[in-house]
Amino acid sequence: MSVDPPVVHGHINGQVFSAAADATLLQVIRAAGLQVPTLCHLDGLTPVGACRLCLVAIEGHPKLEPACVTTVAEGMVVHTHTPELETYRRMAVELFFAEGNHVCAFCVANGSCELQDVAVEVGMDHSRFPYQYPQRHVDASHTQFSLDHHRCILCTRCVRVCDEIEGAHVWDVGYRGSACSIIAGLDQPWGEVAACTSCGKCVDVCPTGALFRKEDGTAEKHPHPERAAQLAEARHEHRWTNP
Amino acid sequence: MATKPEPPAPHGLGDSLVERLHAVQQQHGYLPPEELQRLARAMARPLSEVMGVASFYHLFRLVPPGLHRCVVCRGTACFVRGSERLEASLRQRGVAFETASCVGACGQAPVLVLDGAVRSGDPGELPWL
Repeated sequence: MSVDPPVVHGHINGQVFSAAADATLLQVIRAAGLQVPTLCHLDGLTPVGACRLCLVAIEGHPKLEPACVTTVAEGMVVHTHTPELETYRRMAVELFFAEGNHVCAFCVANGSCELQDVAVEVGMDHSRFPYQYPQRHVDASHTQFSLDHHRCILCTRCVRVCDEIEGAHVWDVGYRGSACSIIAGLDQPWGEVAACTSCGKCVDVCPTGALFRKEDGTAEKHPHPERAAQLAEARHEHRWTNP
Repeated sequence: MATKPEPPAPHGLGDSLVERLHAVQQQHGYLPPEELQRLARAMARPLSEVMGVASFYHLFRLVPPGLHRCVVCRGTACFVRGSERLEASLRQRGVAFETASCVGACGQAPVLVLDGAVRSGDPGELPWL
């Protein structure tokens, strides 16, 4: 018989919360009906704290912490929407846009893009940072799917879903700094990687239009980020959602 | 602050990847794709993970090295004494070179390392240019 973890209490935005001691701040924030923007986080996958959008302020703690990878502690007093946090979040989204080549007007994910949604949520209507216009490429070597690196924000959802749920580990992060990119196999064309089972989970969970089905044209992508959590639940708890 | 502890490596197959990559590079001078594939198979690791590590570190070469190797020092002393001009003149002459943060020969700045030997990087003193 498993022993339930002890319960801890604290405050979020002035509201009292009680949660299991092993819960993350993000879980507590969402359970309290509050909302912080996220991009790399996806229920069902291991959190990595890569996008820095869920940063929160904790009283008495000198730095901001990403809510998705921070566990709650007794007496924690958390703020999710201080002016400082809002400034940083907007800045982070501006950097996402400046870093890649994000052109919503002819993107497959236009209208169903989480980067777009987050930009709206944090009130980002332009970037103060110079656009980098990086020279990236499109990998259309797979028979069913394509990867447009211009639209990739390196959230690593595809890497994690392929490793943790499908178990194929086709994807990983290669190189570093501004040259950093998602790689398939030995940085080969996707279609040449024998490990790929063509299951399409990476396409389902991609928050932008970076991974898409070839038949999808502009604004025609229908992502299914919820599938990661459904599959994880079915696998670990033998509970099937039957959507 | 209590951040979630890193989960233990799920496959537990040691941390020897970097060491083994070094061994491959020592043998071949770079990391040929076939060798990376062999290594991944031997360690039962995914190809993309091996490539991710190999491509992350600057010391690993993914393409065969040239006949000669030229490393320009970009340390502070070399920078002050004109390593940028040196790089420009090398580039102008079509010489392929790598860069290092400091080779520890600041007294002779600017320097470059040619086939393992430290040389003065004064463009006027380079006979082969």
